[in-house]
Amino acid sequence: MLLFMIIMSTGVLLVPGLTAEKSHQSAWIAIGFTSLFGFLCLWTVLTLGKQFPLYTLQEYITLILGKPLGKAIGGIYIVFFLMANIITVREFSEFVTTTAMPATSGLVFDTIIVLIGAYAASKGIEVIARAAQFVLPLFVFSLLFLFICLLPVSQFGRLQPFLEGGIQPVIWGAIPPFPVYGEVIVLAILLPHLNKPKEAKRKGAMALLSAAIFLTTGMMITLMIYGPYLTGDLLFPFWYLSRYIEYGTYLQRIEGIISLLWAAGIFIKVAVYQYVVCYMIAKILELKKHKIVIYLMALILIPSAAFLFSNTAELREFVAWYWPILGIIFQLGLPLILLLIALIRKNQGWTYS
Amino acid sequence: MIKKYRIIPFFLVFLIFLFTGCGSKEVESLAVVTLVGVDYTNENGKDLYTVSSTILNPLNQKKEGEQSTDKNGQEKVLIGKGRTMEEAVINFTANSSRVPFYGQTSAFILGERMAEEKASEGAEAGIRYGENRPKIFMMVTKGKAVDILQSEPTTDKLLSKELKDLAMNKALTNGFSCGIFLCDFTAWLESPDRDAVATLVNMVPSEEPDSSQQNLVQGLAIFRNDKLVGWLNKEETMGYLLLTQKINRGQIPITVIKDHKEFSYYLGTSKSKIQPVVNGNKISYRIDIKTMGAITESAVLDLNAENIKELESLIEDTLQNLTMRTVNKAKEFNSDFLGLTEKLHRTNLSAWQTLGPEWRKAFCQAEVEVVVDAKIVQTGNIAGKLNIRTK
Repeated sequence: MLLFMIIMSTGVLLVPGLTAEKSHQSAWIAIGFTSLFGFLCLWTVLTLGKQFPLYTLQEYITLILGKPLGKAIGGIYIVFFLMANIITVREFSEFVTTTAMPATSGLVFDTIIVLIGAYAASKGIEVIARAAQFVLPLFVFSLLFLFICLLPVSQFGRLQPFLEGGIQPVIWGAIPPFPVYGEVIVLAILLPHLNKPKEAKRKGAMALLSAAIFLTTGMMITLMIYGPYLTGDLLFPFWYLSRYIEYGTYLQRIEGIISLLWAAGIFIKVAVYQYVVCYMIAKILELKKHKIVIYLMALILIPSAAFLFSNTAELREFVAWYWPILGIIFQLGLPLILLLIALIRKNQGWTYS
Repeated sequence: MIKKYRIIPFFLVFLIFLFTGCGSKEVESLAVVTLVGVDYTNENGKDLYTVSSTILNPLNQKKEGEQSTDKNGQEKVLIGKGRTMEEAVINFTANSSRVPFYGQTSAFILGERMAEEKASEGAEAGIRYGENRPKIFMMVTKGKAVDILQSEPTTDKLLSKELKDLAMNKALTNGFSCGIFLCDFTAWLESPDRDAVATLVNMVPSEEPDSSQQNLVQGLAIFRNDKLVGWLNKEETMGYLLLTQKINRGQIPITVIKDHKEFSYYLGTSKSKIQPVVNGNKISYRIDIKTMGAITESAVLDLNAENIKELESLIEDTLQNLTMRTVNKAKEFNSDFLGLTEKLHRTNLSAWQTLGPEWRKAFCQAEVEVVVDAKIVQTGNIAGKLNIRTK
């Protein structure tokens, strides 16, 4: 559930527009196709977890690469997760200021979501997971409602021609959603916290598959309503899709409710990332409790989210190009290298201490 | 004690959605915009935009429960001019203490010159501004948009509601025109393979005794790229509707002539299918149209089974003529607003790719065959013909 919420909560915001901008009518293939990389990430993380069952990512990095290098890369991972949270918080404030309250400073929304996330993180991962149990059905309902209302007015012809321009546009379009699916990397921290670690494989795959189905369906319907070119120009295509719902005068203007449910989903994601970052910092500094750093991290997170990107265009460009590169390195590249080294050493008969 | 405060974070989340924001947009201070008109002129080489809008008149709103039949003064027109559209918008709100709210806008109306030269700017502004909804109707008028906004509604209390209802339901049902949404219009402007149309609204002399002029939603405005290039009259518009639209609950009388006598085919439903045919380098299109309708007024015809077959053939010829007039008009304007090339692009990619930027030329040269299958499915309460004595 947590994994699904982490992927979907920001997957429905900027990414669909970025994918459609590059892939046009093939965007639904691109966004579905990228989930394969998500499965690869999941497999890597779970296999590493199997090799080091009781350890988190930063702990087995130290075991595999030695203390100095391991600590350094562990530290870089903290920055990576912090950056992921900064982007999530900023996407949330951009979403609210663009769609609902344009005259309010984004800093207000950054502060609110970070403080709520910090409060949830201070209560621990179980509390966040319980909150996700409550939010998930509402979040899924909002998407299903959106799809059901718009399917009758969709024009299937707008998905044609199939694969125009070959596979190249699909590959370009697959770049922005990569870090969205790659967020399964948080499992590398959360795996030792699971009470049923054996189910991680099945449930992780289910979460990824469900997210892929929802994102692909959403992308298809958006393309069928707005066409490939307008969809690619929209900042938040899925939200703009919700504004299309108008059945007479009795069912319309439901985007407010949908935004509220999506905001609840983003809150879960922010809380998880805050927990993960603070937990990792506590481990690296060998602190007994991670709660001490939570509100200190909030003080870093709020101004970073508010001022790291000076406008929406900068954020969009970063999410489109630079963040996927970092995603490929930290969500797939480094874990694969770690796994390779671990397996080679295992074959050579190494034992970790 | 601490437990009491646990509710605060969740309360904060809900507060976000209850805040009005920092824009002072309290409900009682809003100027609810219902129509927006944009006109453009170029004076001494400098752009000049005139943005007009109708707002719900706060001075003339009745209290709850009060009935009003007064249609004058329910909406107030505000007009502003500026070197950019944004400047014009700010200027039209300058003399109002209220904050404009565009979430209830029914239609964007572009003046003729605006549509000829700056249609893309109008569409872009409509999509970009957050309060506008995607299903705002896009309309064009011959002359100035401000004249339309200053006119009075004929049968409704609000001009905006009258225009919206005409565009949404009546125009297509009666075969006068069809409502085009802002999002569809913009998607067409962006599309590499088809041209756009917009609903045409005009002021015409009124047949009502208490008003001199009335608005008429009839016809379509034709675009090539992002420029207005011409208009479709009533018959050509009917051809467009038959070629491109799915008509479900139509009440469209089509005049047909048999033995020098006119009768009406009451068209109820219609659907069409476009098929590109590629033969070597030659591209042609076959359009199949299926209609169903009734004959409800026919004092001159005996509607027996044999005659009905003959009448159906006549109706098919009439509808084919109507549609071919529209096809020829599209070729004359060099504008593929019928979506034929779009269909070719979608179904035969290699043929589309060979056309390249010359696709409009290929469209003009393509042969178009329209095949109509018209059915008379009802003849009202009378089986054959009333035998009325004339002598």
